[in-house]
Amino acid sequence: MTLSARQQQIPRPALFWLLSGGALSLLPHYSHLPLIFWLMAGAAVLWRWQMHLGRLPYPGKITKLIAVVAVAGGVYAGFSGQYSLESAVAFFVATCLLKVLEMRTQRDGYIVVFLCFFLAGTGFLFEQEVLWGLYGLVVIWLLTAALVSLHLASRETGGAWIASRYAFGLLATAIPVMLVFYLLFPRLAPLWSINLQSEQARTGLTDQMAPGDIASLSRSDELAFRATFDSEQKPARDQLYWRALVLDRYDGRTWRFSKQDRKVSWFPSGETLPTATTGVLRYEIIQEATSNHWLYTLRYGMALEPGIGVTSTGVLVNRTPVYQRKRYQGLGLSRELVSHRLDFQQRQHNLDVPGRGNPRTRQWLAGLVANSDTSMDLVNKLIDYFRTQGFRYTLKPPALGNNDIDAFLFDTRLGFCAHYAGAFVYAARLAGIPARVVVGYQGGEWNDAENYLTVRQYDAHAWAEIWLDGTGWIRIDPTAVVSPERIQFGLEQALKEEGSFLENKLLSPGQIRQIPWLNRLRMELESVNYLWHRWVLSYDNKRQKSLLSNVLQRADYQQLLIWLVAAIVLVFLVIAVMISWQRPVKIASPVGLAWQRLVDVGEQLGVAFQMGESQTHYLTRLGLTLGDDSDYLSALAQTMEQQLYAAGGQQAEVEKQLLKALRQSRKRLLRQVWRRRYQRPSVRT
Amino acid sequence: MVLGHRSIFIVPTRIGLLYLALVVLLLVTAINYQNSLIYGMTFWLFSIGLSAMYLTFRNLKGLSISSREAINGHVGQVFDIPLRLAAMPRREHLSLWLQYPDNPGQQLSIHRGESDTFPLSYRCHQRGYLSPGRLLLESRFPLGLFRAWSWIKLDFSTLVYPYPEKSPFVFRSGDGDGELLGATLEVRGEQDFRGLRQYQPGDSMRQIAWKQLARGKGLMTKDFDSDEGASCWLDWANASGDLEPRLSQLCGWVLEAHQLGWQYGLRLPTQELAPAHSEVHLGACLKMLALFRLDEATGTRR
Repeated sequence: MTLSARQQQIPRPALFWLLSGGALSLLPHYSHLPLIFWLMAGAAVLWRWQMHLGRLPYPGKITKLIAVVAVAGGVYAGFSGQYSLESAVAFFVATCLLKVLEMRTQRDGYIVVFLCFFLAGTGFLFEQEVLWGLYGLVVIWLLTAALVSLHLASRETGGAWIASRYAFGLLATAIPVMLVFYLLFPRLAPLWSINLQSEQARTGLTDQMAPGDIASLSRSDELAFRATFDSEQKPARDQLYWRALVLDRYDGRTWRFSKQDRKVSWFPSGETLPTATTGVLRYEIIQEATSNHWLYTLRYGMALEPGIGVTSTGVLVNRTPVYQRKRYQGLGLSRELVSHRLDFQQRQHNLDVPGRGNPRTRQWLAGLVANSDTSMDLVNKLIDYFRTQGFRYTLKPPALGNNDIDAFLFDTRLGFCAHYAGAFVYAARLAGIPARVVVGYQGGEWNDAENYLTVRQYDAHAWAEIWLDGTGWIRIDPTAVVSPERIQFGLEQALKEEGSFLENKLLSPGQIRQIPWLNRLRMELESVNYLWHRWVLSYDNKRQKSLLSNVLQRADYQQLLIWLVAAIVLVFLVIAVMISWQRPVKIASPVGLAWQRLVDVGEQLGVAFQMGESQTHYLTRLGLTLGDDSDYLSALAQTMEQQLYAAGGQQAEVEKQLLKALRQSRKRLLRQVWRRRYQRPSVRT
Repeated sequence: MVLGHRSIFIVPTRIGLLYLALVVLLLVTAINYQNSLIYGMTFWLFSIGLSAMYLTFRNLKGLSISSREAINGHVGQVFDIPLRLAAMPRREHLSLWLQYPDNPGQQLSIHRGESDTFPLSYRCHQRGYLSPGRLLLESRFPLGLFRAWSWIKLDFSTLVYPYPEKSPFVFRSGDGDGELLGATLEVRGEQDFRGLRQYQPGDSMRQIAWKQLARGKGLMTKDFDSDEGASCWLDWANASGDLEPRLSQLCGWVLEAHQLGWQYGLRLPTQELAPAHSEVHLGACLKMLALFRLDEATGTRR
């Protein structure tokens, strides 16, 4: 007969833990579960609670069938049959909900808890900030308490306290082993390629630039990446042009990058690291997942790690799409340190514009070219045009028809970085200057406490690079002349008048910045989150190796495994020692102890205390063995009974007397022992 | 006895294996999605499992178990064995399951420094000294991932008499011993009441004049005419069947004769008790039947 068979029903108090743990483990999935799931979850929890209160019966077969159909319908309606991480998780959530509904026996309770553990785990695929980490801890605690309460009888008094206490104790004592495993367990490469990727529309750059793309990014305050610079370097804000993509193909509407033209040299490329100290920026980036290949590069990049390469256009790319947060080292070289080449084909490519369209621009440029001596002269004239002709920076530009560049340059004169960069490059190409559009991020927010830069999606930016013979590629940012605030202070300042900065957000860093103490709090949290990302979330194979080589002077996996096995053995040894550490049996009260000592002496006299024997009975037996002169024992027995039935107030007094009597009796018994031991031989002789 | 590490066994339960499967599943998820937080959760859960193993073990360790004597009874009867469980001052033992195999069990908790005495059922099928074998003490607290248990042997001097089988008396006439003297076999119901006399220790409870006692006149015994001098021998030779059925028959006779208020003697092949009538005599007769052809000291078959 097993325990699970004996305890069929879930103990009543356990249901509270089960339902609350289950509901909270669902919460990290808020961002991707359709509304219908929340309705279903609420209904399931309420329904189950009503069953608990006895207001509703347990579901019968038909009700269960209807519930299965309804939930399956919900999954299908929510995801319309798509196969992605979200729909897989949603299917799993649906299973949990159904299980919660029909949960009845203790075994069901286990299943629900385990499902919820997994649900909480998958929650970390979507939310990983430090607060969510803490939240996950609470969920684990609740679910552990649910497991404990599954083992407590309903009548157990203080069951909730016992469950929460044990759950806390378990979590706390588990920390050392957890840390050892976290740090030492080999961080393997993915076991198989995961087809199940998040379809969550990630806000971020796209690999093409059409008017409006960046404007939509500017409405998001999501994190793009965080960067730290080596040796206290802190580049000026107007130098922080983070290059992500170089777009050099234009079809009259959209800027794209040409794949066939892009050559990537993967690490290790054989290039030697520059020895110069000036003009070299060393930084480290923790990049959020983008589902794309690109990485972020300041100035001209150089691949420093396996799996990373640098393209012929000088930006870093990752060999595989960045599905998870990635931490990598970067090197930014200034223009002088890079050898620039532009072969004929590339030159043609960077001059290419559609043969027709935008007639006014073409005409205007023909005039400019005729009046300019050098390329630089022409560029300056173009820039001057943007500066002087009443252009304005706005995130709400009016729609442009066909010949959009004509309309932008001569009619509306309203736009944001993408308009300025696109129009500038188009104009430069028409004038015979090789030019290309670069998209990425500009600026960021410095956190002074931890000295790192936070770059968010609203820092997305586009600018131009032009080729000057003899000089190479140089960066031109036409937006900077239209809206110096955008470059110097960021988007928020640039849009101060328009008020369109993050206007569709209820509460965002932008709003919070207005309230000093709240802003301070936000920065604190940001710092903590940064440290969390840097030291916890980005702990991977590489960092594990470097930690091991730093701390243990061991870096290879064999050694690591030996260490891990040693750690496991150590843990088991500690447990074994704790288990076998037999402390002498302690008896609660001084009276009990005194009694035990008396019994010990009694045993020397040949009268052992027997199992189940009452103390009075024992004393009587002892008295019988000793024969005469044992009245004190019956007196003692009387005192002991008095103590048993003493009123509450007299307890202490009687106990004191009893203790005294016990000790005296023991002394007299001891005397008896001595007498027997030493006098008997003399009697015999 | 106090449970120490030598007497406690511990193995993972099926639920424990399922938990391990969960941890492995989480580990695979963590590896495939390269997710540090899931790694952390995996190892935390794994480590919680290890801690749970120790806690399950500790839930039994240091618990002391003793028992009082149960009340004597017959074969086939359920004995309530009074067990006493006591915890050390800083230890608690929660959700313990106690059970004699094939008997109903009981779940209970012993809180810090407390002790509890409760009856545990045991249906006895063997006459002699009560020897219920090993007692299962089991716990899956706190998480149910591990099952710790111990088999505890407790000794009793409680007597288990043979099953009292109701059957008509058989007295063989002949040498004078095998007869019922002074009473008829068919005596049932009311007998002639002769009067009251002072109670003597050993008088049957049935004959105590309770009404007189209630009136405050002290303990009196009712004397019946017909019982006076009724005397018989309950003889092994007069019973039939194998050892156990015979003993059962004799046991039934002894109880019957006692209830009728007769003077009865019991004769077994190796020992006999002269006719008498008292509770003490009844106890002696039953004890003789219980231990017949058993090892006197241990109550087991010789």
